[in-house]
Amino acid sequence: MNASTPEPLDPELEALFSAERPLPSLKAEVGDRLWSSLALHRPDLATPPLSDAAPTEPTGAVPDRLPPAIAPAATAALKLSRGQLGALIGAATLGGALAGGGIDRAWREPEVVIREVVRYVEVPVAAAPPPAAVTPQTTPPAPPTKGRRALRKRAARAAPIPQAWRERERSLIDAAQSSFRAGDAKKTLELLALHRRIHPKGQLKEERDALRIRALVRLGQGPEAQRALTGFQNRYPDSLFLEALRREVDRP
Amino acid sequence: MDTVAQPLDFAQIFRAELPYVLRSLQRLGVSTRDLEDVAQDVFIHVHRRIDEYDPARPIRPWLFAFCFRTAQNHLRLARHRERPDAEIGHTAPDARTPFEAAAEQQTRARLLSALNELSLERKSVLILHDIDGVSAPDIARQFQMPVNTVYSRLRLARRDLKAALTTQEESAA
Repeated sequence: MNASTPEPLDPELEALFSAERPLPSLKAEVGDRLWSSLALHRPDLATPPLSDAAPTEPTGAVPDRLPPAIAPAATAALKLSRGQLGALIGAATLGGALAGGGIDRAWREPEVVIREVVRYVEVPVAAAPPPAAVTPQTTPPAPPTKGRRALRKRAARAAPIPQAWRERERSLIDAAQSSFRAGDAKKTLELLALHRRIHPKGQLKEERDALRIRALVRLGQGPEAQRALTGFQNRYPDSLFLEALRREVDRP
Repeated sequence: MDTVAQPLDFAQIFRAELPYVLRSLQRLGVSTRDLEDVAQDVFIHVHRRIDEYDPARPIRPWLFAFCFRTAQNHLRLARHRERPDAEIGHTAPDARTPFEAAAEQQTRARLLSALNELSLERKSVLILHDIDGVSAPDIARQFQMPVNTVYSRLRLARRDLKAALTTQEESAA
């Protein structure tokens, strides 16, 4: 037989393969559940994939995770056409840049929607140090050494979390996820407890708590899982994992 | 061959290809109980490497490569190597009668059970070529192997599958 061409397929195999080829249509909740689990690993996957609307189309809804201060402005922005929005953002940026000179007041007058967008865009400008002439120094300056120490302390407090620390936190959650997938729920709980000790207020605490509930369910600790779920609901009422967790806990 | 419309979007791939990924994992020997967890792993890897996908090529062989590697890792543990069930378990109701559904499930169970006897490498080539309809050169490109190796594995896989089916029939008789 020539090795570079396939043999004709046996009729029995052909019959089996033909029956196997059509793909099943899945229940939407399977996709939703899987998407929620994916979001445990990838927080940037916030858009629901299997809703009726196409996922790439803008829906006009504000994502759940926007901070409350930004949400109204974002809602207003989504109601505007792209041209209007571009013009508003341009105007807002210019208004922000001129804020020090007092000209921004002219940009704030037109209407409510514009004011909200302007407020959103202006946030970094407001945080900038004001000019010395506007805010005169009322308290005497601290001695140089003390001031430097205070500055260092303040800088340390305001410093972003180092990348290595974040990676360490992520790797701990990843390890817990892996052991969970491998069927070792006990080890998962141990790793999550370790995470809780090291990163009590870590960025991934929501993932940690969600995974803990799943591990408890797998270990058959229903009442404990139920209690943990209640706490989770109170802490993260808008969590993406909530629906999947409820289903998992309620599953007989 | 199905391809996802451009621009390529992860959510779109997930939505369109989730049934394919679940089915492929099942054919590769992942049990129904672990399907969702393993599919999750597959999509995590897909998400990480989505920039490497060449939109000029069909998406399914590319996705299958992820399924293959993830299933390979998963099946390394002996406790994961159970007999796969024929039903994914979460399929939406369709127009089939219960009798048709049961007959189809029986056929699938027979095929999956026979596939389980094959090595993962041979099984992968067989699934891609004979079930998914991917051409041998595309398989060779995806798995970075000579085309003749694809044909050779395909021939051996069909022979092994036929033998496994015969053994099944004999033990049932």
